[in-house]
Amino acid sequence: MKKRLMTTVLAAALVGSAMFGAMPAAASDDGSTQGTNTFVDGGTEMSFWTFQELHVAFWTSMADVWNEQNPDRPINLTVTNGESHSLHTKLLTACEAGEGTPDIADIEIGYYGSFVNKDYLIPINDAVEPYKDDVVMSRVTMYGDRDGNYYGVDFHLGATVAYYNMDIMNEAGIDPADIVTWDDYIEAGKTVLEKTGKPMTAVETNDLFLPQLMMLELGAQYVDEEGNPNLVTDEHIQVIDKIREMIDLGIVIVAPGGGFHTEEWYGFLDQGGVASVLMPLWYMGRFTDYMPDLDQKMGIYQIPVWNEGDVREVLQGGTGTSVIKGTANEQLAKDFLAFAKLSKEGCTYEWNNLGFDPIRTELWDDPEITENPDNKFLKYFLTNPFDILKANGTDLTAPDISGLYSTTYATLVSTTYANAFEISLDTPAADLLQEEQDSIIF
Amino acid sequence: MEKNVPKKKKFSTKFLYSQKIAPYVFISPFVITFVIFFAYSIVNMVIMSFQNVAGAKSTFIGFENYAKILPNAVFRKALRNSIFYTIVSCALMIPIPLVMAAMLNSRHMRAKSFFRSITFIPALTSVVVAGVIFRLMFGELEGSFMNQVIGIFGKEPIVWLRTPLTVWIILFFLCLWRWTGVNMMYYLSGLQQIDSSLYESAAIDGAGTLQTFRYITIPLLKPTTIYVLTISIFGGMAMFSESYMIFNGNKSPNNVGTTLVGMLYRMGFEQGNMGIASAIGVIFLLIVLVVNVIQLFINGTFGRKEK
Repeated sequence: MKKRLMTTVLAAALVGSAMFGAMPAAASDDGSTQGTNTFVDGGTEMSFWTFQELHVAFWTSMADVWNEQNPDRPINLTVTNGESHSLHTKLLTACEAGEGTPDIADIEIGYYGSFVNKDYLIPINDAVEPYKDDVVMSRVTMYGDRDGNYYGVDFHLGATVAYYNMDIMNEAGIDPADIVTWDDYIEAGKTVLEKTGKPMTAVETNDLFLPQLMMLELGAQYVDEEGNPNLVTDEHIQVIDKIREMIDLGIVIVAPGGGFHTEEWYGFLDQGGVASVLMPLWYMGRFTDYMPDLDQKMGIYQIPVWNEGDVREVLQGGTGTSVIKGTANEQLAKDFLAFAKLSKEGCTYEWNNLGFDPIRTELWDDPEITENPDNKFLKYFLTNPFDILKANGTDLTAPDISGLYSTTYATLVSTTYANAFEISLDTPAADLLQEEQDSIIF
Repeated sequence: MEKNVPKKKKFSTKFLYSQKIAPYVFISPFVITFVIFFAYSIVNMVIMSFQNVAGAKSTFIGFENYAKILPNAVFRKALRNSIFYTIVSCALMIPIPLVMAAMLNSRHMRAKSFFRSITFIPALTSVVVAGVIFRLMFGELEGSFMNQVIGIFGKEPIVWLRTPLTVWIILFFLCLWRWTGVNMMYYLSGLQQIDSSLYESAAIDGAGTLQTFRYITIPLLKPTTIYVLTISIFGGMAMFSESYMIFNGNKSPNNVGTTLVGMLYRMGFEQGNMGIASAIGVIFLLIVLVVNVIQLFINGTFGRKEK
């Protein structure tokens, strides 16, 4: 009896120690899935990596459309989907090793700079050329380097807008259309706080959308001309001081959960926790997916600006799909990529199914798109997002993600904004930014 | 009988039955795995720590990686975090499981196997699941589990995951919850090796429970304690996934929960800076080696062999 017990205990201890040893491996368990288009005979086999389940259907459907239109150059596409973080890590490691890379891959903007910087991607200038006049080019060239090469195309324009909770705004008696400058926004925020007790908006500590938006309006970037981290700028100080001013007034809070993509925040926003949130148009999908209670309550308006007359739209967030070096089908991959992302067919699919604001300008005036009564995004919101796109045209500021942007971004979203807006509120912005700048390793 | 064996076959037979070669054959699986997966990588890591790593275009840059990393504020914070975590987790993870094991080993304890099982179950759950559940339990809104619990005592909701103190409480809580069962199992097996006649004679001499625990149980459990301490130091220094899961990524606010391994992962795999990551790895390796050598020395592991 005793012996048997002993054996059991020892066996259990063995399992335990094996698990202790295996601990770090658990984090990379991603449970990836795959999808393919309808394979045709003689089609060129291509592999594709993405980190977003919804993109799988987009790419496989676009491969089918491509095969219909280009029967002489058919593609048999296999799309593998995995958890974002581990997929980017795997892709970077594969590129580093020069082996096991896919032909094409979706790369999220925060990671993109590393790939360009290390020269792992193939320029797609020639493939984009035919579409040049039909799309917002700053959205394409931002995925590029200082030499005029660009390497990726986005799913969307990523125009940043202001989502106002109209229940709260009406209760406070404010028409969001009257808010033009940040000073207007602050005044409105004071009224909202006074009448409803709710903060006007929230700022993230684990991401950078609000400060980056205010920086882009000033034409400022996080990296300098050479692509080196450049956090200590007058504009950056101005932005941090402005947000801190709003925090002091109580009209800006730190987003519950620390960011706009956390469980706590979705619940908080859904219950009307803040009067507005400033995010790109692709955030519409988060409303329709996670915030059922705000249906028919949210209005989309232009973002506040520093001075009257400024362009009231900037481009934020995104995913640059790119052809990876080492592919055996470079030209085909480039042409397919440009077609899927920039053609009318592709942009229409992206808007209808994914809620991505089209990068192709002709769609902004197409009533079949802009007035489509069955579109779930148009149905959800009280105002039409295309009015904002039309009002601001195509000369828009996009973030500079070249050089060491990825490295800079990692610091901004882990320490800089957490310190600036929550932990070290009393440290002067200039000192704080200098400390942050010094902590970046490059 | 040997004479009957034809001479030609002798080489293979000699090889297969040789008493000299056999031991090497038996240990070869371990040696080969060790050389390929550990020794080679460690040597390569040391080399890469002196390089600007860029695939085939890597160049040697001397101590530049170390010069960048050592004065860096984030690196120092990660180092402090790792050391603090290791010390506190060792301080928690040895006495608590020891006492629990002694209790479970006692004749007076009821439903032993039930308690043994439930304390061990957390070790079998995936740290991914555990991290997510802990993150939701320690949410900052009023409705989160822990805020409801402290609400019963009339306390205001706490922003658990963005305040350094509470972050550490959560990390140690997770560590305790997860590994107490495992360490307790080690101690249980150690306890069962102690001869019961020792306790009997102690009882005859009039020793109380606490005295037997102090003068018989603890000294005789020393080998187990050394083992548990060693793996706890490794585990503590290597802590990464708990922090990764609780913060939903390798980015804790102001690096409250960033450990050395987290920093290494961030530099190497997130930012593709393998040279810096290797330098961190080398420093990490040195620290763990030194700590363990000191610890084994104090415990007399080397001395005993000399006898």
